[in-house]
Amino acid sequence: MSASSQSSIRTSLTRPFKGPFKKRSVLPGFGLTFGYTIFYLSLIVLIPLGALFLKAFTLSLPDIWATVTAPRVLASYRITFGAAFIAAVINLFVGLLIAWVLARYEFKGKSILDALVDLPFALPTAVAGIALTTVFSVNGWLGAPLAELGIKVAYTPIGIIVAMVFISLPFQVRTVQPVLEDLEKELEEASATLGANRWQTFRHVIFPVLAPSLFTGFALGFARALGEYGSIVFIAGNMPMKTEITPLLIITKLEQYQYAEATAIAAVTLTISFALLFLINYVQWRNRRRYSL
Amino acid sequence: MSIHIDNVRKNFGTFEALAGVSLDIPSGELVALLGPSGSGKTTLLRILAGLEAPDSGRILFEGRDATNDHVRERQVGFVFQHYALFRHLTIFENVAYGLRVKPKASRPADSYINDRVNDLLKLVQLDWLGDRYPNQLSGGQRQRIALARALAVEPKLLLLDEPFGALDAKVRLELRHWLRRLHDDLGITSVFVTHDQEEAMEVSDRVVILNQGRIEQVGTPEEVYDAPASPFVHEFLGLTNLFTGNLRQEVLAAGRNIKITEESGLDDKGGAYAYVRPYDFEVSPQADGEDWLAAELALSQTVGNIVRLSFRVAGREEPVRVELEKERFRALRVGVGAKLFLKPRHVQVFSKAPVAVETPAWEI
Repeated sequence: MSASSQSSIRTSLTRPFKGPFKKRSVLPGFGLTFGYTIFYLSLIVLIPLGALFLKAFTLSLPDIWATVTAPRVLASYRITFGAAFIAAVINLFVGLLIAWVLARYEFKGKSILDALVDLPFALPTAVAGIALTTVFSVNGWLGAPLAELGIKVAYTPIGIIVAMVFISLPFQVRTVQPVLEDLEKELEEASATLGANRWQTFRHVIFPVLAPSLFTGFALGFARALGEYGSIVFIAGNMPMKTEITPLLIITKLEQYQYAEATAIAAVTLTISFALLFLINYVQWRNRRRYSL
Repeated sequence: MSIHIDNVRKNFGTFEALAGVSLDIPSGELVALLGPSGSGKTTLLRILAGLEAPDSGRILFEGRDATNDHVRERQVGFVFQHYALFRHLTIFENVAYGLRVKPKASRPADSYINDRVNDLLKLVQLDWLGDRYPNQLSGGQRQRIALARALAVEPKLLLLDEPFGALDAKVRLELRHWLRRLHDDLGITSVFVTHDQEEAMEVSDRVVILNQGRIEQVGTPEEVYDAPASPFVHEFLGLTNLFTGNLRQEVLAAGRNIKITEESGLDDKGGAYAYVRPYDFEVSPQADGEDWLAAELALSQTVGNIVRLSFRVAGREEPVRVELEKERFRALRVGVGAKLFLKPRHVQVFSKAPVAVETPAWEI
């Protein structure tokens, strides 16, 4: 049967369903659960975000434009998105490595290591920020030797990246780890019997299976790093144009009672974040469809 | 490629998977490793592939010691029970995989890979599925693709681990015949693992019966069936009735006397274990001699052209199971509760006690 005839069957099958929205299903309660989902999401997510945009638009359009494209604001976008991206890329590799170790090997103290991964979830971010600042300041345990090498971490963009790496690490590990644990050993064995070496097996067999979860972990970690405020303000030094992140700038505007300006900047960050997450979800969805998983 | 397995042992912790197995497989043969689960058959197959290393013993390919060869150097094709296809690759790319991962120096040109993969897809009769993904295929189709993928690298030895185990009965039957034909066409030395005695009997040139890490018997399907080397082999190869007792002058005293007509090779004294297959009984409404068992029909069940009967025999806990052709059962004109007489046509006798075995029983 050709692909086209199959798809035509599929459309003819979907036709009898009521409307474009609801499919007939043996599971009851679609109306109730869907209604509750929408209600809840509205209350928690959509209405506050809507209010944000409304507040931003109390300014005139030229004012909004001027606010969100001020040099200091643009610099904060660069540092926030840039550092978050670098942190997510670092976690992509480190997170995979940690997930690999946790998923594939048995060793003493594994459960402790496993629990340590979640620590950044649980720790108040301010505590993390103070701890990182202490360790990485020029007198700190790690900061002092690094300073001798000419690398300054605290109060520089590197410090921001360090804090972002710390708080977003669990997202990467926890999304990749279960996929690695479920990976069929037989796939690797099949690859080996066909003559592939370890690297080829990783590159062509393991990695494609992991890629979606790596991607998801990357997206979650990136989004988390973008929104991080508590730990970064301690280690960043917060110098305008250099190490000032967008969330801090928003707080600063709020403290100066410039609510509309603050919300305008927030709206820009939000739009960019949402666009990125949406794009990533779309790519995932397309991949899943392709392999008809 | 001829294979010589020399006293191979393998333990997993305290579990003895293989307790010293030696076996010769001549080039071009299709051999079945048959045994219940835990008998070590899959372990032996994986050791042949190089996916497991033996604790001791040697594996020789064409007389050359291959015990320490890495799996990717062994040139074996391996087919897994659950196909193990790469689901992110198309069917075409799955089959091409083994050719694409060859070292640059020996990697064939794309045009060659293209031709070879198309030939293999034609061989497994699925050349119209090249651009699909594994999840769009049925189980039987996936297993054929897995076989094509294994054949792509021109293996000298083809290993199949319960290749039809995950398929439904009808597809399994089709693929069995197809595998036999394919083997006859290609002539690759092949070893496949199965726990289904019918499958082993039907497909293979020779059957290797394993139990608890040891080889019980090696032989053609006829040999192992007609002359089982041990009670285990007899019991494993199909439903049977066991009569135990003492052997005296070719008569087994077992509640009722059973005349041993076969050359048993046992001396006339001592304990003996006699087996009679369900279809090896005469059933008659009256006894015309001494060596008939009086029996009462307890249950009957018609399966196609066969009637499965279960008889109660005095002094015996286990029912005696008998199979008759439907016509012959009808000719008896009896029903449940009838008193009949049984006489074994063919008895297999052992002096060794049988080991507990999960027989593929029909329950009635």
